[in-house]
Amino acid sequence: MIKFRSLLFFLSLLLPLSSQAALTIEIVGGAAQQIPIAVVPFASSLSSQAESQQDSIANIIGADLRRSGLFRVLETHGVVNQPHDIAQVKYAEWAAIQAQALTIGSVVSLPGNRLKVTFQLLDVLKQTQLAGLEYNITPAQLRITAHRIADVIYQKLTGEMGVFATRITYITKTNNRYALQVADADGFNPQTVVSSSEPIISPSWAPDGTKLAYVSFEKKKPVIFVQSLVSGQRYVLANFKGNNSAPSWSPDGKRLAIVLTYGANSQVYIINADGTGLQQLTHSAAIDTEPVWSPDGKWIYFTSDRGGSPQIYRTPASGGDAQRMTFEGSYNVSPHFSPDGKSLAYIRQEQGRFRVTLQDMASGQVQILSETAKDESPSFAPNGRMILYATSINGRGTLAAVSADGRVKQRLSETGGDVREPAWGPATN
Amino acid sequence: MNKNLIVSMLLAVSLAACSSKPIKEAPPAVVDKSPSTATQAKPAEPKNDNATTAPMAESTMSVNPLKDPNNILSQRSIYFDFDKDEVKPEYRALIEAHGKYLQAHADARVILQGNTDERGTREYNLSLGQRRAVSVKKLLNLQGVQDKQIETVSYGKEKAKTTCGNDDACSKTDRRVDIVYQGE
Amino acid sequence: MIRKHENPLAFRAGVLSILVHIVLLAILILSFNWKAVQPANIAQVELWDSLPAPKPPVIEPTPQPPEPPKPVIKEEPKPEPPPEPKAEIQIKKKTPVEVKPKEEKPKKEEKPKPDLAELKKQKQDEALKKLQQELLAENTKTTQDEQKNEAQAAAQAHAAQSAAASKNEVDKYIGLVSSKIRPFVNKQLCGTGKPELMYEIALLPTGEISGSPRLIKGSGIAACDDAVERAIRQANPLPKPSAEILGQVRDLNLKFRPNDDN
Repeated sequence: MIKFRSLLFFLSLLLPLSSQAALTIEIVGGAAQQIPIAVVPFASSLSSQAESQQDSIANIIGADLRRSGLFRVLETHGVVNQPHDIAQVKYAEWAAIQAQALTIGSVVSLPGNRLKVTFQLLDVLKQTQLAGLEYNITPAQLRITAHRIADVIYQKLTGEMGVFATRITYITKTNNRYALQVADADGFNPQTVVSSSEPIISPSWAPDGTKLAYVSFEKKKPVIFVQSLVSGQRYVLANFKGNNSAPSWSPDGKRLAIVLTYGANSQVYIINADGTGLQQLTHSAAIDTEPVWSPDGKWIYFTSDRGGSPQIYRTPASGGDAQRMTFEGSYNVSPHFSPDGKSLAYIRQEQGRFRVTLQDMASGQVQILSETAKDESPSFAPNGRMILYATSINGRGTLAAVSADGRVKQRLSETGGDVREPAWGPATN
Repeated sequence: MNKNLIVSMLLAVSLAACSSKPIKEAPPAVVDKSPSTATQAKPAEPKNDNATTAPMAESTMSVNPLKDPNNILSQRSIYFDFDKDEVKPEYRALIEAHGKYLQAHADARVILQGNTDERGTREYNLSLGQRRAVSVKKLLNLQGVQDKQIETVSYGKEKAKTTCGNDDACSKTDRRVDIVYQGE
Repeated sequence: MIRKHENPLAFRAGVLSILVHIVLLAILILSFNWKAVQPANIAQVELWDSLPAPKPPVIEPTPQPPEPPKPVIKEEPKPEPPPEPKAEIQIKKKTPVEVKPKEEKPKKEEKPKPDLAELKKQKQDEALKKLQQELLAENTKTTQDEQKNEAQAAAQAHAAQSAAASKNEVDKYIGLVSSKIRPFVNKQLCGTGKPELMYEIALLPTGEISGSPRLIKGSGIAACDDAVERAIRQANPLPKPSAEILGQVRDLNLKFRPNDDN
């Protein structure tokens, strides 16, 4: 009798012998902010003089990755074995310094004063190669090649497009002299596009990156010019009576939204890139200005104080009624879209503080991103992760950047005068 | 006879001495009244030591009322309160005077340049400055001045002082409309 | 078979107990080679009259509840999971979770005690006495629900009792593993939503991971999955599991919610 029950009981005891026991452990949150990566100085056949003339490739890559805020670039000097080729890599040494990824490479001279740059990106923990590329370049292209390598590393590890090889534009004011400049995204190699003793404002990149539209006061009034970055040639896009300002290219590069005053208040117009076909878009008795196109080309968002205080509105690009889009606070201006069209950055003023603010288009949620207080001209990187803007620190105009989630904050150090009105150029493929 | 010769020779010598000192024609002084700076090549003409000759070298024989410091027309700026574009009563007389001048001189053209102080973003302030210029224009219109004689533009905050912060008194001179006559 | 002098409820208890065992066996059939069990059956019956080695029977019941009792647990009005080591234990809010299982466990174990005393008399005297002492030391109240579940719980009760001793150890181990991996998890790469992902790893007695982590459930973001895998690898070797834990556990299911706070 007892045996039957015991039998059954004992059967149950046998069950665990058969099944694979597993323990579930839940890990909530994560403390790591950055990917730890080691960038070993590239082997170089360049003469030490040539090398010292320019930043080494590894330094440029490291600086790019560090500036993104997503990487912790580790010191490599302490590691005895400095590999330049995958065969030389001893993974344990890099795991020992807590690296998750490793970049190695070399620069070799080629005949005809050219260089061959090779690099590999390795996963230290899996002990596999994640990427490996070779470039045949001129010495003048060394910097941009380093940026391209940083882009590859960034994309492989974060899943996002890298923007280290892009350019930015901004305006400097030094001793009452204004200059519109274009520089690499890290601020190196600034080139002057146009300079004047009169103000220049509101630069806007054409979507293909070959032209800039801007507003110049050289004729003693604001006039819109379009200038080719390739040829340096420029033409007057709009010089109508009154103000001509706030140019913004359409996503297909064929038209611009601009602001004219015609002797009355600021209104938004649309004009062909060659200066023909002017059409009025807004019709109000208020100030309507700062138009931007939505990335899908369907809407024009703009600043208007038709409601009594400046807020952001939108209207169909083909014309129609305007619809208010910002509802928090009493001063919201300077709308700029993220490349994916999901977020709108603008400047919000509260109690005298002007700060970069981000609004989610779907949910309407608003987040103040910057900690500085005199912000202007927010501009998204082409991968949507960072927002470049102008601010004033200790009375001097400076460029700063903040990540779209507000976690990473940067200040771009400047030498010399005032810097203002930045705009981030498009992706380079 | 000798005495006459000596006297006439002395006279001749003194005359020659006088003539050897030429009267320099001083160029017309460049009076830069407008706040906007001149074009790239700044005419840095050396001023004549002989200050008295300068006014005499002026092209017009009578004093230009637009530049006569004694004339209200030489006043060209209208100032505004913070965040306001209404013209204060104290400037009405000034605008009236310019209105009269413009009506009297049908060929004269003015540019009304609106300005703001440093607070705010660039393009929005460009529009605010424009509003101030339009306020002045409307007063001129009321006097009968036609739009074809007037252009309204704005410099926004581009000329504003950057060190005033929130001090309205400090930035008072930034919030203004400048009347600039074409050809000046 | 029921003895006449037994508790009248014993009949019902027995039936339910048998039902439970049938369900368990059904699962066993699906997951195990039946043949291996059959002969052991017969051999074990003969062994029943002698005291078998105490250790295996003590440990074996513990893992049993995690897998097979799953369907059974759902049928019960009272949730079973807390005493089981498989429970998803929140590391951050450890206190409230730990209190719950402690409350429930004693309740269950109070009731089955008399039955077990009967059943296990010949087998696990020592272990039982130890457990009984523990149970007596705790102040609990029995509810009517408990009485109803008594028989159902009987099958797991012995397991739960054995689990009592090692449950704390398991909890401790879970905490150790979680706090070793968590610092390496980079949530910057996991977007703005609330993704969940799960990796499975095989443990070696040294705490080292055997082979590669296997992605069981992805977050939908490749960079996030990769970042979490790197975190697991960087945390290698994991804390050395005790022999007891090793005996119960071969694989760890690591469930991640990187963007959550709790």
